[in-house]
Amino acid sequence: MPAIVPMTVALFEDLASVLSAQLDLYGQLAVLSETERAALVSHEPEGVFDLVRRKETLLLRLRTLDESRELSCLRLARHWNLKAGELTVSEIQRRCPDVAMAAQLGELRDALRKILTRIQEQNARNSVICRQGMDLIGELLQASSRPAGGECAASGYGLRGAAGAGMTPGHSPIRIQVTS
Amino acid sequence: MSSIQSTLSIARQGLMVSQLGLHITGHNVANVNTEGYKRQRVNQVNMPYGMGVRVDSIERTIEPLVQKRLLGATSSCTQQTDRAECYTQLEELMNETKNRGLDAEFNDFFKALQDLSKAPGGEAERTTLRGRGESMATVFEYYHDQMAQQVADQDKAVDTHVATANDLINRIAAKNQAIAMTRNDEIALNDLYNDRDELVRQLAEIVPVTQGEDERGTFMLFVEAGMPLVAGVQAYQLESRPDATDDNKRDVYWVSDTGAAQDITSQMTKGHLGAAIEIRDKLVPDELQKIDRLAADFVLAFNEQHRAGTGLDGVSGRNFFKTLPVFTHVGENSQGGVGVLSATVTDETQLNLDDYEIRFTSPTAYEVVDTTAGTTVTSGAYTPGATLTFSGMSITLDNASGPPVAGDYFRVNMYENASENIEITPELQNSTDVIAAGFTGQSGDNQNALRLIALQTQALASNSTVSFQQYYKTIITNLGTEAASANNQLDSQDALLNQVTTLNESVSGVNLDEESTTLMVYQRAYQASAKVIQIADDMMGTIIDMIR
Repeated sequence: MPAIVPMTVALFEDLASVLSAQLDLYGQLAVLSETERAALVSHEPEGVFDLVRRKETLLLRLRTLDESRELSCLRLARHWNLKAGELTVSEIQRRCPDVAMAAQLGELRDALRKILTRIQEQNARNSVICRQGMDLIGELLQASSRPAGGECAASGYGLRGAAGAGMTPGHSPIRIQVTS
Repeated sequence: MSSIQSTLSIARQGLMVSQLGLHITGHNVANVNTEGYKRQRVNQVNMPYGMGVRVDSIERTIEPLVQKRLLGATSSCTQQTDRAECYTQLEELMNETKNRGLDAEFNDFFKALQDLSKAPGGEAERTTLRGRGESMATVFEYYHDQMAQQVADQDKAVDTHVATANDLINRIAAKNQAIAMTRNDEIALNDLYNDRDELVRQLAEIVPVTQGEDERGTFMLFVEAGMPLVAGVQAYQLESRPDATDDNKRDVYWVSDTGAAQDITSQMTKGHLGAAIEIRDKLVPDELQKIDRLAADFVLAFNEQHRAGTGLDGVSGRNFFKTLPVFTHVGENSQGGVGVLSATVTDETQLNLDDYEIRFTSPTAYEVVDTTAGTTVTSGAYTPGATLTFSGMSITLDNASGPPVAGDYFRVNMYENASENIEITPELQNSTDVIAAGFTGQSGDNQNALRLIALQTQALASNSTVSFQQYYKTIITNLGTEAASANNQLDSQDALLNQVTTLNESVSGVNLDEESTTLMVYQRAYQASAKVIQIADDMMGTIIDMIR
């Protein structure tokens, strides 16, 4: 096994350091995303805004780290005469001559994969909530901006609580089945 | 519960709360123009152990005290609106500038007398005076008919208002039934409460009502003075029935579930019903009585002077206007069966406009009291068919459907309906020679005509305090003052109702700006969140590629 050139060791360590920092920040992002979902579903716009601000700060720091990660990958790719896009953590791990370093990179990869998958799922769920909410609000604002059309004697609901039909003033423009 | 199931459960509950919250906001927005709609809001609570949120209740934002004040102000406002409308109609009726009224008639009548005094034997002058007399009588009668029509209209309105009130009472009880049948649907329940509140408000426009709950929490609605109209799902009906002593007017009865009826006319103090009863029984009759008194004062005074003169045919002692009939009416709450067989004038020189009452102190004893002067005129033993003679009148009473009961009484006077009954005598209609311009019967004698002319300025009306025309002008002036007062009261009540309504809407009504603002805040939150999610997803794309 060839000895590790000092410069390469530094590259591995840099990458591991960046990935570790990213793991930490993505972990924080996952917690914020989870909290954000609760804020989205429980109608706490102020809470959502606060979480969005905190997530933006994290994303800025992640962006900086990502640039460092890309730089580390670029250096390693040059060292091995590869294209940067072809260099995955698994490939780096395979080429890493230091067992401990390779194991650390493998752990970081698995942990990152896990946390990113979690964030992706959370983002997917939160996106659905946001999209539904925005669609709903769009309808409501459209209905509320409609000029009043004469007498509105009836409630939007029937005696049994069934939502009234249509978008006419005096009737609820939306139909949501609320079940316990 | 596994972690994934737990997370999904929390998300599902949260999403439901979120949608319900938006749903309520949307419902509020959609009902912004619905009369009586009360804003709803979701009360959510955190579930223990971080298990998410759930809906605790969906509340209507109402303030009971404001609701109560709203009902009272509503009843008062409709009453004042009707009163003000009535005064407007009366002012229109006596508007001398728009219509040819009594003041003009008096002027023309006395002008014709002046013409007659210049040519006492002139046929044209006599015919003109007769015509002016007829014209004046017609205007008096027109006033009477218009006011009597107002009274009749209000009496019919009592029927209409009672029917409308019953419909609302039944619908309120039906809402209570629907409320009792509705379970686990707070939005529907709140809408039913809103509908019921609106029906109660509409009922308050007709009848003064108070709303509350009994000790078991059952919804109760009362006439302001006490009788229940709705108790839970039980509706009590109102009925309009002919007055016991006056077939021309209807009273309001409350009917129990056993069919027993109670007269609650006196409890109808506000709302359309209160106004209709007040207008029918007091407001218009008071004005009509003034016109009747003016007519009676004029007829008695003019006839008295006319009888002193002599016609061209040499006959004296004749009236210009027909003798007014004696007015009699059985007193309220009289129980016995005595009726008036006849009521006639026996001595015109003794007639006056005082109010009299024939009172039965026992089934066999009566007394006649001048209630204006506060004196007993006569008294004695009563026997069926007896004729009582006092103050120029003769009243024959009979046990039409039974003997009198102690406390029974009859009202008697010479002025009621005088404006309806004023007309020139049949003799004068046949011949103008009846007009007594002089004392001698000679064609050149104008001495009585001059005396008759002098009546115009003499204080002979309103207990001999003012002239006829001054009295009439006082009636108009007072009417104008009362109309202005009614309008002021309406303005005050209207302002109060607006104030209470605004107060009510501030806690209960839907503020579209507020709801829209709420929606837009939600919208911005969703947009911001979605944007950051997109950035995060894009950023993660490259690292995900790398950690394969």
